[in-house]
Amino acid sequence: MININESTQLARLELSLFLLRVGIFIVLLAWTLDKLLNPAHAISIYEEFYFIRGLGNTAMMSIGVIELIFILAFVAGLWKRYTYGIVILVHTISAIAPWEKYTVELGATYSMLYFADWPMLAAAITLYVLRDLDVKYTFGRGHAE
Amino acid sequence: MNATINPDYQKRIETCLFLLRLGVFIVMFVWTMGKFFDPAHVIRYFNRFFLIGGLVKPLVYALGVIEMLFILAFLGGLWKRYTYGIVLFLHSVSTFMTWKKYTIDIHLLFFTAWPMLAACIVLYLLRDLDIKFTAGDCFKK
Repeated sequence: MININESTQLARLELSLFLLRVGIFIVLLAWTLDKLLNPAHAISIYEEFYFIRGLGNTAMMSIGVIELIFILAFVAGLWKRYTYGIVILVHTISAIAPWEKYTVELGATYSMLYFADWPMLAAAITLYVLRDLDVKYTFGRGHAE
Repeated sequence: MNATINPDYQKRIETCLFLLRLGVFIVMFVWTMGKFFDPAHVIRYFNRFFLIGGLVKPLVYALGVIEMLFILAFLGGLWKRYTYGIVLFLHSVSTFMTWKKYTIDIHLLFFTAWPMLAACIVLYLLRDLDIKFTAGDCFKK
């Protein structure tokens, strides 16, 4: 039996959770900036994958601003139960929505890149499940008793 | 550091590490299968991103076979220091060689390489805790 209470393992675990948080944040930031800097592209994504039509530039940029505030709270480890939980929910939808890329369109240009959604989903689940241990560089609560 | 972790977390940590291993495996598996089903694409990819030219189809197939054996060992949690280490190395190379996709020729789909890289680092760092559904630990028992 491995003793996970060893300080080395605990330090590695905290570092690991921080890296997962930053890794996910990088992706979320890229997609958020796309909404703010290139709303026309974001609108086309919503139409193609989520069947949400009729969004204007202003609406998309508003979504971008809200999303930016949200992901900053996420990367800071604030309100983990909610921020980490919402990231799982949103990313699960994002991973499933382009299902055709994993199946009927497999082999098309860039279709293989969509598969990296799955380790990202595993990372999001890991953060949620172990959120009480995720204390490195966070403003949130410390270790669970 | 004197903080203690509730023992219940050990099971959660093991499950999470298994999910990360499975997630990384899915990506590696698809890229490996691509070597069998679309070797021409692989040849173009190597030429474009790794500046490796002159690959021929039989060589790509051979690479695919070796890679398949390797990623099955990875999924099985065998020889973790080496399999996890090599996965980390290979994915780091893939991530950094496509740097233009994050900077001057931005393509949003490439960014998911970063949480996957984090997952590879986590698996390597915490490899001693990663025992759920691993063949290595069955052998030890």
